[in-house]
Amino acid sequence: MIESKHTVSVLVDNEPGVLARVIGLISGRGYNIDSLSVAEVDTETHVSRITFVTLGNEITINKMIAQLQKLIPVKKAINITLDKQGIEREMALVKVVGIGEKRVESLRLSDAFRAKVIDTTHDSFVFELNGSPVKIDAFIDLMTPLGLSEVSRTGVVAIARGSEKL
Amino acid sequence: MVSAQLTGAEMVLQAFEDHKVDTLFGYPGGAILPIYDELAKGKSSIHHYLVRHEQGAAHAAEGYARASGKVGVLLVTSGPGVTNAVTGLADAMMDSIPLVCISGQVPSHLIGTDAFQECDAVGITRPCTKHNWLVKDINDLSRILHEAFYVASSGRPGPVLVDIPKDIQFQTGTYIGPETIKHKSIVQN
Amino acid sequence: MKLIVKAQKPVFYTGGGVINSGNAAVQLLREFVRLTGFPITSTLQGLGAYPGDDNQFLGMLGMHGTYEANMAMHDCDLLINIGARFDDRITGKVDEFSPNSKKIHIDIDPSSINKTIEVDVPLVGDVAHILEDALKLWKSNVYKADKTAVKSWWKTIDKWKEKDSLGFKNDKKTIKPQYAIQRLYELTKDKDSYITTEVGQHQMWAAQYYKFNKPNRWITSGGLGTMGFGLPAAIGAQVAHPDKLVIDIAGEASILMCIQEMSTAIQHQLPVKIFIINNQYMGMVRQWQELLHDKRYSHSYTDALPDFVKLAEAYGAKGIRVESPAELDKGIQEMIDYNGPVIFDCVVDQNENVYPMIPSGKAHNQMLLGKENEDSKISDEGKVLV
Repeated sequence: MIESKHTVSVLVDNEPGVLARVIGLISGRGYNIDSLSVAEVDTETHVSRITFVTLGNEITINKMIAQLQKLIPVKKAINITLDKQGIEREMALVKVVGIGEKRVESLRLSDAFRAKVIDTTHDSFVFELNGSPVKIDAFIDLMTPLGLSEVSRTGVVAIARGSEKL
Repeated sequence: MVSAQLTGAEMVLQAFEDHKVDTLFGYPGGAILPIYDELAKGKSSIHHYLVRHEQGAAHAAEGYARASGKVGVLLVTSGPGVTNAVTGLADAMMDSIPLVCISGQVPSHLIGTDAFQECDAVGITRPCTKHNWLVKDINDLSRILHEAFYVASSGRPGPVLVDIPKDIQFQTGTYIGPETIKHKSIVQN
Repeated sequence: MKLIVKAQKPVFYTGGGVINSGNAAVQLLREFVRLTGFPITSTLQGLGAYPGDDNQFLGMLGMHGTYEANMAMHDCDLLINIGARFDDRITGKVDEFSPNSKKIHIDIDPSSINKTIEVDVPLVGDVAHILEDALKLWKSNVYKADKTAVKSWWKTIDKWKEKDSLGFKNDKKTIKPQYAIQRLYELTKDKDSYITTEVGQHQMWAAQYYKFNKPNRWITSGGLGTMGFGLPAAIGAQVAHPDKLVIDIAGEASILMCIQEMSTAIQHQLPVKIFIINNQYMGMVRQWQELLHDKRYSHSYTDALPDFVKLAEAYGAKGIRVESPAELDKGIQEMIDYNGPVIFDCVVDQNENVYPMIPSGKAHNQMLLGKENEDSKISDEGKVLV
């Protein structure tokens, strides 16, 4: 089976150490985490949502999800990429340094991507960009020959389409 | 016992009684002295077997659990006490043996300062226990103890660790009995 | 159920999950196996769930399992896994494991299903609950096994049994370790004894030659394989059953790892018996070095061994040493009769290896069976899987 990126969402009790527990299990079993985001999503029941991207195929990801569901604080774990036709979004802050033509070109391209300029000096921009990870990858690719200097990404958050709740 | 004001150390022994534990394997040390003191007061009918190395306590609890079908219980101090018991906990994890390990921990305000006989018990035993807890509030202790016994013995059995800082062992708080506990996350059978 | 009815070559593969489930599961398992008439094998941790001396029991399976158990697993067309986890010591080469069979897997842990071996019918739940339902269905007489097919399957199995894979050449001068375990079994089998072990060759011989008819009597470190486990575990078992005979079958290297617990036994008056199979080597490591690493015995010789009899006495226990087969029975009886902890130093042949053996990286039907097979080479991939 071909390996590809999978986005997994895990609902957990927001108790001390739960993130370490989940990540410890994943890395302990030999999986790599490409990106990670976590936040409390229900303040009444103190439930957090951990979303991470990892490389694997359907079989290995299913095994990982079975292991995750064994953990005491884990309520549910799901493969958003496969199971729920999910929507994935990410935010990135991209610093581009340059002058002259390259600077102008970077500003023009950022328009096409609907990126916001949140910082500017005479020889640099910082762009804020929201979108699917693929869109962000594309933007970064385009900025690379135009003076890309630094990137900070939040990691993927994901949610299933439709009215069903995780 | 439904509800009472007890010290942390008293709560531990009360929980043992509520879960019908009559046998304990352990080795004393600074961070677990309050609980050993309670044992010495003789109010509990529990029988404590002193070993010579915490690994021995863990394996003895395993042998006891395997031979009797009950949960094995061990009592160790902080730092080297916990790390000595790790082999036994990992062994119980691999062979699905129900164990409850109560470990002493340095006082709460000293955690993270490299205090005498301090170690990150929860961090070290995270991969080799079914679940573990560091008690931060005396009023959580009884709930955690009941959860510990539940997790160790339900579904696929396995070892658990409850790390209790010394100051919490001395503090007084509200003890609630096991009948009122329903674990929030576990969906079994 | 439908699979069971169609099966021509079925086999039960049971594990620790049956014992963890409790006595109800053990009874239900025995009834189900007897009613179907199918052969049954067990993992290391499952020994005792089904009576070890029963005709339907094929012996333990796996890396050091019996020939008939491993061949049955390999050639069967229906594999019923009850409470076992397809551990790597059992499966050998994963893609050649039981290649032509349909597999049913009963397990309380959903993450255990399809973890290493893909199964056809996963049943998640407590062994006792599932067996109860299975028995109800079976007894309702709607389902019946294919009796003629099963009979000819047994004929095949009986032919495999003729290989006598656990047979060994006994000796009059040196004690063979297998013989030592056999004599220990014969002299203790009527006492409802509890047996713990350390880890290594002695552990495998104990599993092969000591027959368990009840659950919870066999306590060994399987998954982690911790040397030093047996003595403290025996202490725990003795605490649970103060009036029973508790024996730790040990190797001389393993026993030194937790030897300090002898004081625990003396202090609390726990009369555990330590039966040391003393071959002066870390036997299992030496066996692997012999087969895999051209007999380069790197640090597997246990040098500077203490005098175990003096060591026992230093702790306040009794020490017994036996070096010849003629004295074995007398020594064992003395150990059983002594009212207190005993260290029994049984000096055995240093060169015996545990057979049968599925070398790492091989399949179930490629077992080594004793001295004639020692020259077959193990591949480099196999070396990594030890």
